[in-house]
Amino acid sequence: MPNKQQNPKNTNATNTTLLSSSCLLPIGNAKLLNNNTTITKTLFYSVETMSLHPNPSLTPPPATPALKPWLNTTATTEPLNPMVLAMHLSDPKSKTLIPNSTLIIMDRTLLLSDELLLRILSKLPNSQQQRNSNSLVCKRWLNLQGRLVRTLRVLDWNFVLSGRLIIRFPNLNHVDLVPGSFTSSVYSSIVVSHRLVSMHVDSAWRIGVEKNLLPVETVDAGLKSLAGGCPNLRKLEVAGCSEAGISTIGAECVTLQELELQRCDDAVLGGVAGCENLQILKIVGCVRGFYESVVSDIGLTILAQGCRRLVKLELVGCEGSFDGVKAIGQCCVMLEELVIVDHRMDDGWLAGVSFCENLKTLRVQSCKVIDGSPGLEEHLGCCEALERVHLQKFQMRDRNGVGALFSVCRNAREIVLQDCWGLDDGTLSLAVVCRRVKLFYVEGCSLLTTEGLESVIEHWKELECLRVVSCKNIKDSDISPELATLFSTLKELKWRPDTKYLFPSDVGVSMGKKGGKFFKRS
Amino acid sequence: MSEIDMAVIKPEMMKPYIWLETSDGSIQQVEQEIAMYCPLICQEIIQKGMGSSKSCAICLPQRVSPVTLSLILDYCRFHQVPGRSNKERKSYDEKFIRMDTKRLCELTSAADSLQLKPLVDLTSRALARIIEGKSPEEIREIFHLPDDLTEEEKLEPLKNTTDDPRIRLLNRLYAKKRKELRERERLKNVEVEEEHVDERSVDDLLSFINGNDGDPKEVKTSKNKKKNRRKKEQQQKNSSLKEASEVNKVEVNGQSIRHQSAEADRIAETSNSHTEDVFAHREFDDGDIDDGIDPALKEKIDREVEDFARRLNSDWPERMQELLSSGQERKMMLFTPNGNSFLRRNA
Repeated sequence: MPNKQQNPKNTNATNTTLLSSSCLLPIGNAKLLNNNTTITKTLFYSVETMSLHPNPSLTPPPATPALKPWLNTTATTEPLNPMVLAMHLSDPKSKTLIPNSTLIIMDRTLLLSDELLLRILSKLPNSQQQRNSNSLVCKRWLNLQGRLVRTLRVLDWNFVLSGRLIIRFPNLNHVDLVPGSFTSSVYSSIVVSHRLVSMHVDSAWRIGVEKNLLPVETVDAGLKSLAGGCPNLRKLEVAGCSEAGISTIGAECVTLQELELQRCDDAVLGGVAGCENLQILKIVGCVRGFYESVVSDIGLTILAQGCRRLVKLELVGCEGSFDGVKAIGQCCVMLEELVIVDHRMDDGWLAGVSFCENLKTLRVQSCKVIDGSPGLEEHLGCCEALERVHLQKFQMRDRNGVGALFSVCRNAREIVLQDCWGLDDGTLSLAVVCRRVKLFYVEGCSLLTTEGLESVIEHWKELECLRVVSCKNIKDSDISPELATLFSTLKELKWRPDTKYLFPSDVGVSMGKKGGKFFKRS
Repeated sequence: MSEIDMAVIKPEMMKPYIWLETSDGSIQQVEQEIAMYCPLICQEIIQKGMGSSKSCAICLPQRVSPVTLSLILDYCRFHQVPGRSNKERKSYDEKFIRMDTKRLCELTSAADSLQLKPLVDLTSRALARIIEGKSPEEIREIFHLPDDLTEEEKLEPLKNTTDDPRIRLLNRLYAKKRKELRERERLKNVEVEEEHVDERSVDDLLSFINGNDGDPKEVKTSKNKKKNRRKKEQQQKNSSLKEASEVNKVEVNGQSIRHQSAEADRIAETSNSHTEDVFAHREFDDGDIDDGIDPALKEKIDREVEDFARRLNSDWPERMQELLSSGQERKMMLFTPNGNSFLRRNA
C-alpha cells in the first residue's frame, strides 16, 4: 500500500520538478543576489541548482533528495517563514503559476486520505453495479473497495489458492467456500441442485460418483491461505477439508464463531475441537448421491470434548448413537438448540437427548424414522428446560418413536408439526403427555381429523394459541360444541384447515378488480 | 498594582479576534467564537495559548488554503449561532455544497484536518452522491484519476450472479416474458401485413380463406363479402366472380341453417360467454404479470391489453351486424329496412 501511494506522488513530484525547471528561471537570478543567506537557504537553492541542469541520467536522483530537505524544513517552522516570504517577494507571478498548473494535472482525490475515501465509498449504496464501477476506476479505488467487502462467496477455488482473495478483500469476516469446492464444468449449462449443493456438470456425470469434488489437499491449501489472510473471520462454510486444514483455521482465526462443514467425517471433527470460541456448528455428513462421509460416535465425542461453548448444533446426515448424543449433552452444557436433519443414527439415540440440560429448542427435519427402538420409557429421561419442539417434513408412522419423542419433550410449551406424513389421530394422541403446551401449530398433516385434534387439545389446559393450516381431513362441520367452547377461550386462533377457501376468494377478488379495470379502460 | 492589573485585563477582554496562518503564509484575523467551532483551533487556543497576536498566529495544516478557510469559516459562522432550526441548517448545507468537485475535495480534506466532523460528513455525502450510479470511465474523468489497472486485474472474477438458483429462476422468468412479447409483436406484424394484402386476386383470397384459422378466416370472409357486394352493385359478371358467388352461396346457406337452429338469446349467451372467457384469460395473464418482477415489462403488457380491448370494442358492432345480417336470406340482405324490422322482431 505505501509503495502504491508513493508512486503517484513521485510522478507528481517529477512533474513539479520539470515545471519548476521551466518556470523558475528568473528565481535563479534572484538566488545569485542572495548568496549571503544562511546554510538552510543554501541547501534549498542547491536543490534548485541541480534541477536547473536537467540530465537524463541525473533526473531520478534529484527527485528523491528533493523531498527530504523540504520535509526537514517543514518540520522546523521558524526557518520556513523567511524563505517563503523571500520567494513570495521575489517573484509572485511565477509562484502562482506553479500551483495552478500542477493542480490541473493532479489527481483530485490525492487530497483525501484513505480513511476519508473509505468513508465516502461506504456511503454509496451497496449494489453490485456500484461495487463493480468503483472497483474498476483505478488501483487505489480497487484496494479501498475491496476493504469494504465483509462477506464473500467463492465460486473459483483458484482465487483462494493464488492468494488474490486475501489481496483483494483483506477485511473479510464471512466466507462461503462451498460453491468453489466442487469442480464445475465451466462450459456446461447443466446444473444439478440439491438443498445444500449446487454445481454445473457435464453430460457424463452420474449420481453417486464423487468425481466433481476437489481433493482434500487442495482444499487444505486454500484454507491455509485463507487463515493467513483473514484473522478476523467469524463465519466460515467449507466442504471437503481435512483435520489439518480446519486446525489451521482454528489456530489463526481465533474469533471464529460460526462454522459449516460439508463432507465431514470423524477425523475432521478432531480439527474442529481446536476452534475454542465456536458457538454455532453445522455438520453435513452424507448427502445421498453427492458424497458419503461418516460422522459416528467417535467424532461426536471428540467434538463434544473440544467445543464446550456450543450454543447451536445442527447434524445433517450423521450417524451416531446414544453414546455420541450423550457426550454432546454432558460436555456442551450451554447447548440451547439441537437440529437433527435426515439422521442415520442407531436405535436408542433419543435417550441421549435428555442429557442436554439447557436444551430449549429441538428441531427434527426430513427424517424417515425417529428411533426404531427407543427402549423403556423409564430410561428415556426428560429435557427439563425444553420449550420448543419443531417437527418438519417428517415421517411419523413409527408410533414407538413418536411416543418416545413426546415423552422426552414432555415439558415443551410450543409444538410445531409441519408436513408430517403419517400423522393420524392415534399418533397424535401420544402427544397428550406434553402437559404444558401453550402453542400448537399444525400444518400440512392431511390424515388428522377434527375428532383426533379435539381429543388431544382438551387435555392441554394451558393452551393459548392454536393454528391449524392446510389439513384436509379437518372439517368445519365436525366441530363439536365442546371444541367451539374451547376455541372461545384461546388468545389466538388461526383456523384454515381447508385450502379450498383460499383459491376462490383470491380469484374472485382479482377477477372483480381486473374486470372493473378492463371496462374503465374500454 | 491594581491599576496595572486593570490595564492588562482590559485589552484581553476587548480582543475577540485570533490570528490564523494558512499554508501559503498569509495571516488573517478571525472572530474567536467562530474559530473556536473548529476542534483543532479550539485545542490550539486552550492548550497552547496560540493565536492571541500576529507574531504567534496559529499555523493551520497544509491542506487548508485561504479560499478553503474562508468557506469553512462561513460554514462555522452560520452553524455556531444558536437558535437556528434544523430546516434552516439543512437548507444552508444544501446550498453550501453546490460547488465543483475539485473544491469539494479540497474542502473535505481541509475539514478533516481541522477535525470538523459535521462538515466532513456533509461533504462526504456530497461526494458519494457525485459518484453514485457512474461508470468507471465517468468517475475517472470527474476526479482526474489515472487508469492504472491492468487488463488482467479488470478481468478478475467478479460475482457470478447466475449461480444463485433464485437468480436463475428470475432469469428464466425474464426470458419467458421476453419470448411472449416477441411473439405478440410478431402477431402484430402479421396483422399489419394482412391489412396491406388487399390488392390480391380473388383466387389468392380464397386460398387464404382455406389456409388460415378462425379469426383471420372471419376477417377474410367479411372483406370478400364487401367486394362481392360492390361488384354486384356494378352488375359485372365473370367466371371467377361466378365461382366466388357460388362459394358465398354455400356459406350463406350454412350460416342460415345454423341461425334457423339457434335463437337470438342463444347467440347473445354465446357471445357473452366468449367475452367472459376473454376477460378471464386476460385476468390470469395480468395475475402472472403482477407477480412479475420488472415494472417495464408490466407496462408493456398493460399497453397490449389496452390495445386488445380497443380493437375488440371497435370490431364488436361490425361482428354483431355480420351475424344478424348473415342470417337473412340472400334477397333480404339488399334491403336495410328489413334488417331493422328483424332487429325489432328480436326485441
